[in-house]
Amino acid sequence: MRFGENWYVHAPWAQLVCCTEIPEDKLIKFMAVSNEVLDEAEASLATNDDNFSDGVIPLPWTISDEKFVKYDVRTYIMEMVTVYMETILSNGNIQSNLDQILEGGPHTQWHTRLVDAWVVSQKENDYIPVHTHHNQKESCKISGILYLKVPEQIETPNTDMSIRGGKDGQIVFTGMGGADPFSTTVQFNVPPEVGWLYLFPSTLNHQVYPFKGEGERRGISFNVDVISKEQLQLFEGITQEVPNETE
Amino acid sequence: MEMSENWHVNAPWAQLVVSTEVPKKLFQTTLKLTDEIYADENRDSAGAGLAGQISNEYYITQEKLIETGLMNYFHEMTTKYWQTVLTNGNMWQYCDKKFEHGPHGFDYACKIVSAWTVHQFENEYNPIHNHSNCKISAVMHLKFPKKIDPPVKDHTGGLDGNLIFTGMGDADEWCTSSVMNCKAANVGWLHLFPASLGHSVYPFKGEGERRSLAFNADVISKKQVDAIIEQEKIQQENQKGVN
Repeated sequence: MRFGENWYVHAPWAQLVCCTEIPEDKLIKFMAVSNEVLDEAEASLATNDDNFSDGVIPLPWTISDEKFVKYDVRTYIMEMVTVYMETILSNGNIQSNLDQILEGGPHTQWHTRLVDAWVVSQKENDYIPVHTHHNQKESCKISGILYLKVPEQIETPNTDMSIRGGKDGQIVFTGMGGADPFSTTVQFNVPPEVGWLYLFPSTLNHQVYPFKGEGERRGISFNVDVISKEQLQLFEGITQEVPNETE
Repeated sequence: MEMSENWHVNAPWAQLVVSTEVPKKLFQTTLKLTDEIYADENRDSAGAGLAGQISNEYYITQEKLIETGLMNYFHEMTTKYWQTVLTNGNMWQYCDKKFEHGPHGFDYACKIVSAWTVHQFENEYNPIHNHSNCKISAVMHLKFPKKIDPPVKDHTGGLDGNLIFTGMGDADEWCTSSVMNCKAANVGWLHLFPASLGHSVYPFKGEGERRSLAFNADVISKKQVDAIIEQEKIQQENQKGVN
């Protein structure tokens, strides 16, 4: 991975967390997507229990693919996933490793597919326990979280991610490794900031701490699957063979 | 770590390997210096303290490092490496808490502890090891044989003579790999890494020399240095009182 002129950083044994600040116009559109999803969810639950009250785990509200298309943000998500994928491939020897371990290599082109997406609306005392997105119904490899709303009391005015306290409402990634206590740590605490998108491997453990007080901590999460052109060709070969086997 | 504009990459649980191309003039100076060390009858063997199954490994004195400008360069690169580590996720805040007398911010000092040359020939190798009594290590590749014999097995082609890093992690088969193969034939590159990171060098077949220079560095926060100086002063004052 190239970090500036004549400076290359590599850690192929590590799961990477990448982040980027999304453009203002996209933020407005994602906010509109989440508003619409939550409005629809609220209307559908009006006759049932109040699912917006405090709870251990905030209920996630599914976002349909059409909703992203309607607000013209689907392409942006996939573009960022592609940049993330390129970052992974430039991390040490990951590209050649994938060529070896995945059938059909060398792999020359990667296709991405949005598997699912949902809105998380977190209120006082809600929290999300440690989990990964790996063992979902459908295969996924990359996950993302975009922050849309952050209660004032947990909002950080700058990127000073203090680990001495003030952990309320933070997402914590816990990575495998930490072999060297001097130059590594297994925890990565991230205070949510509106408009920031985080991308990470679906296998990476993460959790969200609760917070006290008023306000809403809102985000959009999604999972994406990645497959190479060569792997797809292999699958196509298999599906073509199936009718012959049944004859 | 900011990789490019508005694209930050973080993996604070990972030991980082950083590579940079050595300035051409300094590379030539280093080649000349290591030629001289190799030719010197009074060269100081480093072999007893090193893991390498290699006959020719020699210390480079601090004076020689200063004289050739290598000391300055190693200082500069080690400092830059440590700044890179500190910007990896929440590493600098973690260090603020972990090391006494914090917060330390980015105010650290480094010291080159030792440096040595490795002159590796056919069938010699360096088993997996790490470096002790220091925090950061580095390897500069200086020479590689023009042509080495083909590998015994075709599918292992391109591995002979290479530097291999073996990192801890590898939680996800799809996007991680526990082994990093660093081509030693790419001479003129400096690779910096945590001293704790396992690494090895494969042997090669054929004539010629594979030459590298390695060094170890220590890093300490300036506040910690101040605290040590302060403590020494108190000890000296107490000693005066006793005498």
